[in-house]
Amino acid sequence: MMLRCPASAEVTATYVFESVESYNIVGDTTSWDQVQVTGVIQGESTARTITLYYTASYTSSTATVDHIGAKRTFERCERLALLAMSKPGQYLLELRQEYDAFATSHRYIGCKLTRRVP
Amino acid sequence: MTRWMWLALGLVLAGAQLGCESADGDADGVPDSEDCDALSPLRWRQVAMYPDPDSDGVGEDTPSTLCIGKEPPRPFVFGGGDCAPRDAKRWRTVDGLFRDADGDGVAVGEARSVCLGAELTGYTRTKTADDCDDANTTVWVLHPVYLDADGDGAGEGEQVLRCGGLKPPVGTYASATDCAPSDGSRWRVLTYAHRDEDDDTFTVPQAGELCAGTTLPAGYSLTASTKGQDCDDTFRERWRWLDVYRDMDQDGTGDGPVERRCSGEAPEPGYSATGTDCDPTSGLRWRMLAYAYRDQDLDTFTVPESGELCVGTALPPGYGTVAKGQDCNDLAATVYQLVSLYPDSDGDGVGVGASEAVCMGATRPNGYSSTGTDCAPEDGSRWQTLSYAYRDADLDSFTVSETGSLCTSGTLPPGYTNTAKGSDCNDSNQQVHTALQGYVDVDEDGVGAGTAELLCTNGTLPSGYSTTPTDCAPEDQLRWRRLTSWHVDNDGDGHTVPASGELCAGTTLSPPLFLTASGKDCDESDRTRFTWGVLYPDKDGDGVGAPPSSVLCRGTERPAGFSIYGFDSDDADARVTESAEDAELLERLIAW
Repeated sequence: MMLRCPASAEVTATYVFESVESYNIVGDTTSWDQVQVTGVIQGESTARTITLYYTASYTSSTATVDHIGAKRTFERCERLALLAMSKPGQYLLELRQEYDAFATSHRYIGCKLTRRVP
Repeated sequence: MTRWMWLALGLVLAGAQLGCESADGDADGVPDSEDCDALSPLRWRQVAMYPDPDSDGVGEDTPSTLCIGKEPPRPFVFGGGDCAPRDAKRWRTVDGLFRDADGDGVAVGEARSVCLGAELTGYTRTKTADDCDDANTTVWVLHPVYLDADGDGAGEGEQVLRCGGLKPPVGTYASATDCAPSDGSRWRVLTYAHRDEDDDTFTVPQAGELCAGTTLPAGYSLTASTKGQDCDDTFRERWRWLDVYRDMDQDGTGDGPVERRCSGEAPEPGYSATGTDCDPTSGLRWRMLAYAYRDQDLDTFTVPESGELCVGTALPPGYGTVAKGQDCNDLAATVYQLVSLYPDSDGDGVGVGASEAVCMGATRPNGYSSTGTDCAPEDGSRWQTLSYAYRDADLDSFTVSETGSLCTSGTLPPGYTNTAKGSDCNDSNQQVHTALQGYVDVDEDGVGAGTAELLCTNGTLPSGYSTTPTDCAPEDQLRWRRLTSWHVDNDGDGHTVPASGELCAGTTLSPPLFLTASGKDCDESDRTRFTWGVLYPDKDGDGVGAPPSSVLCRGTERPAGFSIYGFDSDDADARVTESAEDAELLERLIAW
């Protein structure tokens, strides 16, 4: 069973990275998979690491189901992070921690890549 | 054919026969000389034939000679003498017959000859007597009888002869026994032994005879009535002896000595079966009835009193056997019940003092009350004592606790109540009622200072006082609150840094102080620099630098020698900003 993309995505935190130094994909912990991103957030003077969570799978009444929507979003954000890392300073990478307003335990990672002008 | 024609035909045939002596020209087996019709095989002999027009087999008297064959031609027959040649049913004459038209075997008249057929229908050869009715087979002989003119089954009058059969005809009788020849309902004499002349079903012994029909008529019988003997058979309404009393006033009850009189179901008018009339002169009264209660004033309420009255159907008004209440005054219809009431001189509906037993009707008389609790007997506007728990002397609706009681009209007057509202701090001043704590606010900036004062107010602190005592600048209207943190933009570049400590302020702060942050200045001493940025050294000045990056405090202008981009693959060559491998990797990443 595939979950629809959240009709109402709620954002709990937003981070705009001016530079991305590392993108650490961490396996399943308890309820969600996570990724740790290290870099300099816009307006800050030092790099820090933020952790974002996404729901790779969930348990329905009958079986464990892959959360295809959350995983696909995560994979696409991975690409944007790679782009930002491959071209330091070319982009601003915005990463958001989101959750489904109708299934609040489901986590998503939202992302946005903005080209910088000098 | 006529006789002459037959004769002519016969001559011709004879001539023809003479001309042919022994030949059989028509082959009928008869020689022509003998054949009366030598030309026809169907005819050969001459025979005397009798015409038989009615085809009964017997012809007329006069024959005709015909030339025939085997059978005679119609309508001729061999024999004649038909006495009725036009009637197929008759052909012979029989002598010595007597007429018996009805066929009953008894004939009439003289013997005669009759033309008949095969049977002697309607005639007979013998006669013993004359049939008195030859048209009816059931009667043939005369009977001496008596007629029954009234049709009651008994004969009367003169003897007559009537034609009958074995018996006389129906409706006639061998003897004249009808005792009432003109009355069909009576024909025989019957005896009786008892009479009921007045038809009241009671009889008297009386014997006799009378002409009757099936039964004795009404009023006559052989046996006495089972009901008994009629004491007066001339009067239908009387049949039995009764002991009665003379009833002069005809009220149904008599008086005086008893008399034995012939009566019916009831005594005759003017008499009665009972002789106990208590008032023989009045038809309206005849019996004594007892009463147990009186209602002299006819107000329906009674008093116990017993006695007897001579009355008719019922006791007269004012006398009865059933009690209703206990009339306290049976001489006055407007009053009937004794009620305990209290004197009410002020007429306010509430009396006072000792109760009195008052005889009254449906409504209570003026000057009395059913209750005796008037707290102000001389004041018609007050009668009920009510207690109160709160006072509102200044009538500002706010109360003070105070208990007591008042003589009232049923409701507490204004200023007295059992319902609290607040706690009036000054019950003599209608303008104030609510105690509030306030602090002197000298600079009237809404925040006071100093020690608290308890003020009696109208619900709101008067001007010059405040509910809060925290004015950090009691003499300065523009400042009153203490701030522990704020924001500063000393270099005036529009970007602040947080500051902390203690600051007395109002609604706003004056620059360079601000209540809210604006950005986050990385260098508060230089207005040209206010934000951190990741920068890369750009040695070849081609606009693209290379790692390592540095996070520097910068303004809108990028520091010289640095770039925001850090992907220069050869920062020593201004012609190169990125390598082909980097471009290819980017293409692959995009296509992934």
